[in-house]
Amino acid sequence: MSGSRLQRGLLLAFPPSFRARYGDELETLTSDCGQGWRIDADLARAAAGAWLRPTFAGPPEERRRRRLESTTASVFVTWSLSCLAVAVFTKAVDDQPVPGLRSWGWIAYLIGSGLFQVTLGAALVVGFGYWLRVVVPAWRSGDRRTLLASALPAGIVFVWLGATGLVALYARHYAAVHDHYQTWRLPGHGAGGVLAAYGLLTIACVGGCAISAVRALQRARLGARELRVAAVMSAGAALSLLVVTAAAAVCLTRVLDVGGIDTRNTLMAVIPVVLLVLASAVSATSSARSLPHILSR
Amino acid sequence: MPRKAEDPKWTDPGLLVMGSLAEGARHGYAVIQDVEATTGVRLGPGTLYGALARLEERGLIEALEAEDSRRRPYRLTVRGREVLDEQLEGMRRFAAVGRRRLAQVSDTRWAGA
Repeated sequence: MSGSRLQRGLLLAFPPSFRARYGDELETLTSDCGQGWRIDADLARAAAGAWLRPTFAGPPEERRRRRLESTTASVFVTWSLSCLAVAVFTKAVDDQPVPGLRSWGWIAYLIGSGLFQVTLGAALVVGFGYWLRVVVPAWRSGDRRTLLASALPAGIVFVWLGATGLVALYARHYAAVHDHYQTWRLPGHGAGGVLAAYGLLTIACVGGCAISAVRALQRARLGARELRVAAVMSAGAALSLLVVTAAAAVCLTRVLDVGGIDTRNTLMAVIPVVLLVLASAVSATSSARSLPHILSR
Repeated sequence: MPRKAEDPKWTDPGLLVMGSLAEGARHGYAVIQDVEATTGVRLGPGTLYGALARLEERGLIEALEAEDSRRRPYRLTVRGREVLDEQLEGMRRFAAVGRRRLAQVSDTRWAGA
C-alpha cells in the first residue's frame, strides 16, 4: 500500500462501516491523488464528518439495521467514557467536604449521581441480556469467532474486578498499618503508585471493553427488530446522560462559586464535565438520528 | 476577478459529483478530474467519498460492478437524474433573474451618469 503513514492512519480514522464499504476505493483514490497537507487535511475533515454524520449504504432494511446498530454502539461507547468522567468528578467533589456546597449544588449532585447509578445498573442488566443473546446461539452453532469476540469484553470486566479486589485488599492493609485511611492520599508510601496504576488499568479496561463489545455487537449482526429495542434503551440512556451532565454542570458551577476545592481538584472537576458535555452531545445526536428508524415498524 | 474564500459558493460537492455523473458512469479519480476541468474546483478524496456515500445513501447514485473493485464506477439513478434536473433548473432560474437585475441596475446607472 502506498501513501504516507499519516495518510494510512487517517484512512483508519474513518468509521468501520464507512471503511467496510468505501475503504478500498478511498485508499486507491488517495494514492492516485498523491501526497500533501491538503490531502491529509481533507481526509481528516472527511473522517470527522463521517463520524459526526454517518452514512449507510445498501437496501433500506440493511440501512435501518446499521443505523440502529450505530446508535447502540455510540451510546455504549459514550456511556463507558462517561463512567470514567463521573468517577473522576465524584472524586474531585466528594472526596473532601466542600464548604457551602449544600443546598441546590448538593441536590444536583445527588440527583446526578443517583440517576447515573440507576442507569448504569439497568445498562449492566440489559447489556448482560444482549451478551447472552449473542453468546448462546454462537455456542450452539460453534461459531468460534463470535464466541471469541464476545468473550473479550467479559474477560476485560473480570480482569478489572480482580484488580479492584486486590486494590481494596491493599487499601485495607494500608489503612490498618497507617492507622488512618486519610494517609492513603499521602505520596511516598507506594500508595500513590498503586492508585495511579489502578487508574490507568481502569481507563484501559473501559476503553478495551467499549471497543471489544462494539466489535462483538457488529459481528453478531443482530436483526433490526432486536436492535430497535436496543436503540430504544440507548435513547433512554442518552437522555439520562443529558440529565447527569446538566446536574454535574450545576454542581460544578456551585463548587466554583464557593471556591471550596483546590486547583488540582478544580481541574479534576472541570475536565470530566467537559467530557460529559461532549459525550452527551454525541449520544443525543446519534439517538435523534435513529428516532425515525425507532418509530417506524 | 478572483473568488474570495468568504464569497457565497454554489460548489456543493454532492451537486458537483452529480453534475459530473450526468454524462455517464465514472470512477472517483475521473470524477475529480472532470469536476476540476469543468468548474475549477479540486475535490479531495475524502470530500469526494463523503459526497458519494451521502448520495448513495439517498439513492441518487449507484455503484456499478467492476473488474477492479478498488475503482468502482458510479452512475446516476433515475431519481438522481430528476433531483439534478430540479437543482439545475432552480439554478438556471436564479441565474437568469440575477443577471437580469444586474443588467437593469447597470442600465439605470449608465443612464443617470
